Amino acid sequence: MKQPTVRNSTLALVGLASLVIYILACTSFSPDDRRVLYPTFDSASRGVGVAVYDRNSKRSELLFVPHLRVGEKPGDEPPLLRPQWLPDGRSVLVAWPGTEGTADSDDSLSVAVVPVGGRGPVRLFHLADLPDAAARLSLPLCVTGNRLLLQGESNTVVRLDLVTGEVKRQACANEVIPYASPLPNRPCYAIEKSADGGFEVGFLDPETFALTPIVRLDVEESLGDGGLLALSRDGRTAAFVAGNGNQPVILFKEGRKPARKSPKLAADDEKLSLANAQFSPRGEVLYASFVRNHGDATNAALGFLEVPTDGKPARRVTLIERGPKLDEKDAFLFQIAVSHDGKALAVASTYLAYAEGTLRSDDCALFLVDLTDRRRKATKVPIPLPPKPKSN
Amino acid sequence: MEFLEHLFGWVCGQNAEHTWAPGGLLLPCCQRCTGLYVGAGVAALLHRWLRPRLSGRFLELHGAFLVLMVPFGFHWLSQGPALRAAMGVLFGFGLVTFLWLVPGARAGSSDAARPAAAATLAYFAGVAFTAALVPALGTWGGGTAAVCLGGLIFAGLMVLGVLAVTNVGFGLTTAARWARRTLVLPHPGGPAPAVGQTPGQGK
Repeated sequence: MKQPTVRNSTLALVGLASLVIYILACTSFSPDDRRVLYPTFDSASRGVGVAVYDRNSKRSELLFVPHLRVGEKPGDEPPLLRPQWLPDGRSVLVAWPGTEGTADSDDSLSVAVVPVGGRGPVRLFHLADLPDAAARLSLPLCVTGNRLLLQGESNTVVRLDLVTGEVKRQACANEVIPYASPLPNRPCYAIEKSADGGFEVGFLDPETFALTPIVRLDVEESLGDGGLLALSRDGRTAAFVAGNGNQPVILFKEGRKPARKSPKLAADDEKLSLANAQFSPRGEVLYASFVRNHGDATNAALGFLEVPTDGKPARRVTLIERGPKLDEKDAFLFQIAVSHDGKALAVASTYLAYAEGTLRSDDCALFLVDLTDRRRKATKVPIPLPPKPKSN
Repeated sequence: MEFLEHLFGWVCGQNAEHTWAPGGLLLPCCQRCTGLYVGAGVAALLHRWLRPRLSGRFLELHGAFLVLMVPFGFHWLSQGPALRAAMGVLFGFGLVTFLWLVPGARAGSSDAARPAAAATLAYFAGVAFTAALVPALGTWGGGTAAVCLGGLIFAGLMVLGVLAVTNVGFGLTTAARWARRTLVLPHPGGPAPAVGQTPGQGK
């Protein structure tokens, strides 16, 4: 009688231990929420590279440095690197305009697939005939499975297989912009209907390139020039930026329902530019990075807005009080990312070091903001300032 | 759903990319946890109803269900949403079976049960059905499926909570009895110890 009791108690203990281990481990099952990718400067090679920050160990590690030299001469433009996780969470994709070694070619794009943890080969691809390649990097790249989708020239969509390197170019009726989807394996697209505004957003079939519209914003609704900011994680609501350049508002559009307008986001004497945005996991808040210029001041404030989708006033969180002044077209250099669990927000100020004006060394950092903290506590991971240009 | 979302925020990473949204309603936990909690709820129901005998191959198989979570839970093997949830379901069945042992034996249910082959078959048909149903509801279900899954997830959490507390309770009771027997009660045939004395000091 005693033997089954001991066996039962031991197995019950195994069951309890398994449950505890499962619950403790689940919060770190998502590798992309545990680690954050960001562009950084590598002083050893004087190049721009990609680093990965581990939120658990609080350590940063340089992951990849393409052979792109910066600061060789005054007036050098920074080579824009776009690092992002691949869906498997085991490797990252790094894209930059031009070919390996040169960042001056504006009609080609280099793409590297880099394994994290050093397992497996680095795969390097080169895509030619891609006009204004740098502009393709201003938004997160559209990756689905092992495929990268990009807008090509003359109304084409380019599909690159990140394993085999196979490239397919598909002609479309409109200028289709593949859009990084918040839904797994369901890439999205955006089409600008006319110069006066009006957008269509939907799902893009990566096999057949068929388009399935989900949200349409009419020209009358779009309140002038603007663009798509974000798509909610259930793929039902799209956020558009609208209004004139200095006084933007956000329009939330769900299916065929009339668009809802956010309250005013800036004071009359402010010039507010929005860079990018992401919805919270439940879609009740839109996080949008901003650059705020005040009157004729020589500095700008940078941070992010929390815009409730129910029309309540937005909250503004400033991360850099006195940053370099950025005009509207350069605001995209300050882009946020929200973790999958919606509990943290990250933004790197790496590229602000190249903007007009001065970026203080302690403002050149990866900012990790705790969204569960009422005061939005931010942790700074320092990024070294870029090497100074050599004098001629 | 909002209450469940906050509740499961304590026990699940709630990775939105790994969470189903049937009918546009985001479930309160990830696909793996959905499988785990729904599996746990259904497992408790089947144990109560079919009363399978908890010994031999039955336990070995459920032990294997627990071990399976290691390669899948730590992402050593690539997996999609359906497999993630199915592994969660098996893990839930394994957990409930192991946690059912002590309370079941105390209630005299497990050893007394001698299920017919049909009952065992029905139990494992229930396992397979749950492992297939959860991904199907998550992927193709509408709003009603979301509400049903939400309810089952909550029920599963309650079941695991009750079983965990019961097992801990039984464990503490057993430990207390053992301590009393060893440290306080007199040896058979010996005199009763005085208050504040150990049995040895009473002699």
